[in-house]
Amino acid sequence: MVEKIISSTRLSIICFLSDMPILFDVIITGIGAGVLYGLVGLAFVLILKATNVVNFFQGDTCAFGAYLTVFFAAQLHLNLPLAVGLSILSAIALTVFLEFVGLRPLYKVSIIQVVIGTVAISMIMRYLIRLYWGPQVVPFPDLFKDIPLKIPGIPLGSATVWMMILATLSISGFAIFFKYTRWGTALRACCQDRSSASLMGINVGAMMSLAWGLSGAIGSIAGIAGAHMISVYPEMGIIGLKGFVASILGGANSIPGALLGGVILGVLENLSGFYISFAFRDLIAFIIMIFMLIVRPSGLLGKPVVRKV
Amino acid sequence: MRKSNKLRVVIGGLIASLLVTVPFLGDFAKEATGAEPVKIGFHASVTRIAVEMGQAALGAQLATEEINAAGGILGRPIDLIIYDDQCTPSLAAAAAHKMIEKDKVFIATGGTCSGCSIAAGPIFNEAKMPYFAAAVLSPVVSVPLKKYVFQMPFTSEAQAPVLLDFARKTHAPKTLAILQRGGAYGKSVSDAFIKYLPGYPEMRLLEVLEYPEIATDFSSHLLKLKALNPDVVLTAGTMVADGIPIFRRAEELNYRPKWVCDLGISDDHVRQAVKKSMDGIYCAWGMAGCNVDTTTNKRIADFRMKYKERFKPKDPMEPSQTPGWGYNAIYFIKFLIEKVGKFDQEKIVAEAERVTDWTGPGLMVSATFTLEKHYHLNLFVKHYLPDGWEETLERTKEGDWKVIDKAKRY
Repeated sequence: MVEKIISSTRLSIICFLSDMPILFDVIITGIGAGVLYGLVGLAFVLILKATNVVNFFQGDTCAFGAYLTVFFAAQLHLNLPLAVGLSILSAIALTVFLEFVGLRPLYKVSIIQVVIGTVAISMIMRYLIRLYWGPQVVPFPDLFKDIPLKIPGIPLGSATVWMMILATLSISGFAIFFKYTRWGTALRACCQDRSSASLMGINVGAMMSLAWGLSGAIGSIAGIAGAHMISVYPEMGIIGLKGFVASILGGANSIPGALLGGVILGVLENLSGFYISFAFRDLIAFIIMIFMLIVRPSGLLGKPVVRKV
Repeated sequence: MRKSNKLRVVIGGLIASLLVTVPFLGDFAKEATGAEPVKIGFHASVTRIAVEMGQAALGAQLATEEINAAGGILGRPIDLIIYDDQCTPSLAAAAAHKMIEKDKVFIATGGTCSGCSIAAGPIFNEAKMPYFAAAVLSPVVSVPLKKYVFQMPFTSEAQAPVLLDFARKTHAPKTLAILQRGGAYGKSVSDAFIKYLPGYPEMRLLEVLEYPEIATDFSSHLLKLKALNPDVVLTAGTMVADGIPIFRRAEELNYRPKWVCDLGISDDHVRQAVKKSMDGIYCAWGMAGCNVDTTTNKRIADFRMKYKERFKPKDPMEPSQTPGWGYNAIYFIKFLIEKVGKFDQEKIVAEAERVTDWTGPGLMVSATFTLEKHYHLNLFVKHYLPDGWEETLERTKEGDWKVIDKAKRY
């Protein structure tokens, strides 16, 4: 194992020195993957900001978005834009429903119970996917074949480029939403103190549903875009883990931090895989997570939370 | 007691005894005629990982229903007990114990992930239970030799020399690289390539690049391959879930090596998903034209029709090749029991050792077990052509490759 790493590193150093275009490709493709992680991370951050809950079924929401698109486009034969729109709306409805029925009653008990509830919902969602669509890989329609968007000299597919545009728009939109709109302010208030927010006349229940609905929308968009990069199968929710790490890295309460964290994670994964070892590529996400939790728990762009007694 | 009363008691007792014992006499009769079901255990990766392989369980189910409809094995119906091992060795081992201790099966089969059969095989062997691993290719399953463990499909070892020979004849490569999936099967294929490579001194192996069983991005691996620039890239253990993003990503990176792939890529879902990104690729193939509607092979066409009628799959590409392996396993067990003439595990094992040329109603061509108990059969190569065409090639006795089947898939 050690010899393998040494020979791989030696080869990598030779590659690094002799082929800068390859280094460029490694970084760019890492950014491409990282944007997907960042989008999923954004959904985590939304829920964390609004409810202080880590949503462990976020990855499965991404999977549902992809599967629903297959259902509407391939099985009901709707046109692609309509299929995507309906998938996103269905994912919003599903997430709001799951939160209302499965998690809302648990808030009164403790936050830990809510987090455990999200784990249970994750299992249920995976089971339901297998029950209806089966356990095998499902072919996903090429959504961007009529609107190709490639940048010359950049080794990224149309889906990845479109995803980067969507991610940038989403992040900007949500940053504005939280900072400058009434509903965004109300959501932030609910996050800080639900009781006080309620006393101020804020409909806490509606705000919670709004937050979960938005995370459902983002999750399904990430799943639909990600279906072009990874296969559509019941375990594709694994992308949620990368999104979680991205949110920790960037800052669990920072919206732009989620995207930054995702991009850094994607690039580091690619660089470590290419120049050190592929086994290390898989470890890097967890090493980063532990490192950030020890060194800077609030993340790169997150603000430390100060609780006054 | 008066004599007449005594007689009444005796007659009454005789009648009562008959009433109690006759029903059981009926059961003995059942056993004598063999109507009690014969239990066959089958474990497969039905959910979670490598689920395309788990369809072997459906093939086994179809074979069971056909055999039972035709009267069973020596008059006894098959009771097929299926366990989902989720491609997890510990679950396969647990299933093996249950089959032996709780279900008390007569014969065990199945196995769609090499790691699972590697875990389950020794358990069956220790229990002196005949076990026919139905769809696993790692030679570690049956070697070192275990008396009661047999391996039905060709092994990774069988794929390696065939694919290396094919690569040499088709591409004449000077350099090779291996893209290996993590797990027992991927390792066994990769090890087999490395083992047989010295027989081809004109080809040099540059690197083995391994990725985990569940991976989300393959950019770094493909860029590494691009940097190495081998003449041919061999795949080892790649399955549907990773095959699709690998070929898509390779297309995005404008990386088009000469791919020579092992069996896992040959699933039709990969081709349907990535279409022209697979043009020009060769891959090992176990069943000639198995998943092609336009196949000219009547046996395969019949099997496809029966499978679709029975299971009505939503996916028009089903069945792939894996149900055929489960189907064959059950028919092979039937063949063995009928050859022996009774339900005797030791005699069945001895008979399996003697198999030299079995061609059943299943899909496999004529095959044999060798001393190493590997079921050797012809290994085909599929060539993906432009515009949805595919051709199947078979190696002749002279060592050449000839096209035996050509069809348009999309």
